[in-house]
Amino acid sequence: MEAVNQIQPKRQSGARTIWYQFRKSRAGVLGLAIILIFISVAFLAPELTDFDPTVVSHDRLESPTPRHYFGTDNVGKDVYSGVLFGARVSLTVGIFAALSSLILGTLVGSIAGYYGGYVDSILMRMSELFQTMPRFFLALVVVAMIGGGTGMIILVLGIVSWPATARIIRAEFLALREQEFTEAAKAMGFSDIHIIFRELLPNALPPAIVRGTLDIAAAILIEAGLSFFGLGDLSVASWGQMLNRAQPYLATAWWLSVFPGSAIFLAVLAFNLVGDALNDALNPELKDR
Amino acid sequence: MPLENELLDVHNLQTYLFTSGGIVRAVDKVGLKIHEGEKVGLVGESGCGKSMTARSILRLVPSPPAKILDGEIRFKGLNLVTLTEKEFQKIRGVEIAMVFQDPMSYLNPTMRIGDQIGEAIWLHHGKDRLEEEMDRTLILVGLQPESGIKKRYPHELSGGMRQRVLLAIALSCRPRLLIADEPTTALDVTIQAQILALLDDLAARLDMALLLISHDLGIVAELCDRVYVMYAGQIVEEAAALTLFENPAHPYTQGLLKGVLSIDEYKPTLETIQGTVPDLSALPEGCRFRPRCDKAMAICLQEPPMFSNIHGQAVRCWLYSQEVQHTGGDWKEARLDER
Amino acid sequence: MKDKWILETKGLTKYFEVRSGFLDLNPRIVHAVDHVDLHLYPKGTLAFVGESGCGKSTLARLLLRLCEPTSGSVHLLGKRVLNFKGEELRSFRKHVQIIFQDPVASLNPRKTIFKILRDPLLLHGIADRRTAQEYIIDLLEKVGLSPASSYLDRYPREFSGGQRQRIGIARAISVEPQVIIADEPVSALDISVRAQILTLLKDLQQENDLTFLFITHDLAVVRSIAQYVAVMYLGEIVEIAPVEEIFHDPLHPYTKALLAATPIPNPRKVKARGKIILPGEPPSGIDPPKGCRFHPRCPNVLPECREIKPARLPATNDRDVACHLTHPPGLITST
Repeated sequence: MEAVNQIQPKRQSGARTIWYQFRKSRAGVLGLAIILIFISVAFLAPELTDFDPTVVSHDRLESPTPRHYFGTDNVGKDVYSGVLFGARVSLTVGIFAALSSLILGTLVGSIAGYYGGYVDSILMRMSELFQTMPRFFLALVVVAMIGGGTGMIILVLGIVSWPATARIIRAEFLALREQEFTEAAKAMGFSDIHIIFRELLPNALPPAIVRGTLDIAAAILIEAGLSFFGLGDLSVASWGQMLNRAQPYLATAWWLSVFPGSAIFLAVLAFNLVGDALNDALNPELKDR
Repeated sequence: MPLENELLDVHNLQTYLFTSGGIVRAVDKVGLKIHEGEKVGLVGESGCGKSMTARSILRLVPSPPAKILDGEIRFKGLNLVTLTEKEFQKIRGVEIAMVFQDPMSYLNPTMRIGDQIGEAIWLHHGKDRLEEEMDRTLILVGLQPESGIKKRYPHELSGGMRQRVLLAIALSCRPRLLIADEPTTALDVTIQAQILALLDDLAARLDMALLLISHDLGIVAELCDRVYVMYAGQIVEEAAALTLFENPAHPYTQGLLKGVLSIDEYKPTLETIQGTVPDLSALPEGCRFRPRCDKAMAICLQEPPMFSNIHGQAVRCWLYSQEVQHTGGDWKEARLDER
Repeated sequence: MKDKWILETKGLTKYFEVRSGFLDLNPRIVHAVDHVDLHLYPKGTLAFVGESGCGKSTLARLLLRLCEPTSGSVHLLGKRVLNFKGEELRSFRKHVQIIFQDPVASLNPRKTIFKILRDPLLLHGIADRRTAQEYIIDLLEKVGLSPASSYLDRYPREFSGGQRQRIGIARAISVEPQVIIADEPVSALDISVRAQILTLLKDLQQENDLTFLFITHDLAVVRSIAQYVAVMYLGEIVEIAPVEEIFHDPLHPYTKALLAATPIPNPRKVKARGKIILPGEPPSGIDPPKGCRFHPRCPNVLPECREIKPARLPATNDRDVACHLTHPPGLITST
């Protein structure tokens, strides 16, 4: 029996190739750096400041000084601490909302895409129901009626965002289920559950993950918007709330709006850049050989 | 000295691909000749450079990453390489036309067949008697104008019919040379027979030369008068079809023919060429086929072989060089006909 | 000879419905496979030959129960396959395996070679997590991939078509099947690689007592590997015979046309043989012609061919043909 000895020169494994491609996008790397800074800030917030963001003081409406890096607001709260601790809220809401949307969307999308037929029709009609509602206004209405709390906001955002993810996963599954390796798995005797989750899902997830990063950005923005309107969770310091309280002072105390506003802007921008770069990084891999 | 009816003379063609993985020497000093009305086959396995050679002749190489670095392409004496793109458009599709493997990829899915053929005719002939010309071309490729085919879209046609449409577009100007790159690979075998018979007929009727590119030795045997064999970016053998199949000279050709499957005979054991095709960006020293050749000599490792001519058959192999034969394989300076 | 068939079908039929829209109330019917009877001898190789639309791929899917037939039965070692459920069905899958045409698409691009080969072993209890690696290395060596350990952590895209096909073969034999259905296993490979893969399959057949069902459009492949050949046209078997008989003395006009159309890599023989060029296209299975399905393209068509469907009848001891030329209607009483 003849042995086929020539092996192609070793190419990079899946994850490493994605990283290699991702690195090519400077914007993406920048976005990733910003995200990592924000995450570290969120974790290390207590270490990075002496001030408690919720504590009022007599130093009211002070412009930025070496003591209060970002100045203070109308009741003397330190803006710098507010931005640091606010990162916790924004990132938590953003990441968990996107995560729940990803999980729900994946479940629905994979079942709809794999089985097709009536199951698919029913699930897709349901998703369309949610998809036609504008996310922000739905969140606004729900929170206004039921009341807000970080958990509620995460829930609402998850419920509003899942249809897009479901569509993406479903589209991938529709294509994947026609592939021969899917047939091979069926012919081998694997159960549908195994095929959906162990064979097909790893192939279908990448575009959904890209969507997920964009969902994080959107969630951060929506949360900020809700807080801006006074509907957020009032017990925690949040960038949106800071903007809310900055409204009367837009002309006079610029630091009250610029710093939290910039934080929101940078966070949303960073996730968008990463999402785009990830999308590009995942696609050349598909055009291999 | 060129023969009088020499149509195409390609000399020293070099097309390399510049990729992030290295320089791929897809077409490495390739030379071939086609005479008027001749049917020539260019045979080789995937990756050997035969498609890239054809595309280089017609300047259809994707430019990055490919680049035509060198070569003379004489068509009826005129060196095509010296022409500007505008001048070349009088050649491409007019004097030299090409049809490809998968007709569906080369037909516009949103245009009716009639419009697509009409477009080709209009481009080169003008609007004069367009319908008439179109009908004539359709009949030429075995399609009936009255059948309503002009109003159909590509996806409504079968594979064989699409290939005929592609031929109609290519033949709209009655080119002197038709290059067919795997024209029947995607077709069923009985349809393939139809298309091959059609190509044969067209070559005769239009006094048109044919360059047939294929990995299928069978269809080359069916259709071609003369055959070039390519391996790893180079021509390794050239001969009249009968000679090539009955007396293959190059060890690669011999290996291919020994291992090819045929309905003609039952082979209890199937002989194979050991090893695999080399990476075109990391070619072996000396002869490119040496790692897989069971007749390799010392010189094969040192020098890439030149062409030798034996009774009208050209072989790129040290086994046939006169000097090597005299000295038994250690000769270092063979000075023979370099193509 | 008639007893101990390993795989047998009776009247196996599959019709597909083609709807021109969601609410199409009169869908057209595609006769993909139409009342096919076949027997597979143990340790033998039966090849199915035909062009697109003949139903050979659908037939393979039916035999594997990857799609359900419209009617008819399939028996594996005497048991009715269509009744299998649950555990029995999974056991059936272990016994009947498949090798696919496309080496690129038949391996999951996101799994390593190790995982691709390990999961079936675990599923069917051939090995467990501790013994799997050893087993897999052995398997890879058996299909000619060496050194096997270097293949384990790589992904399919790092390999050539021939190598991937070998991995697919390794996967198929890993669960110790009795029957392997090979669907165009070499069509997507280079010519010099085809001989390698076919040799591998023949060797494996000997070593493991395998029964092969080969699906191909290429008669040259058939001659190299099969003992019996069934020629299919529009969902039916038109001729079935031992391989050398088909090549030396084909009876059905379609078989003759297929042979004449298959190119031979020998210009002298090309000139010597007669040409049969069939007109028209292989038709779709929608609304097949009345009478003999081949009659619109047949060079030897008789008046009765347009009206009466020829039955598949024995022509010699080992051979069946469905053609009025061999079995004029009215002269032979059906068995």
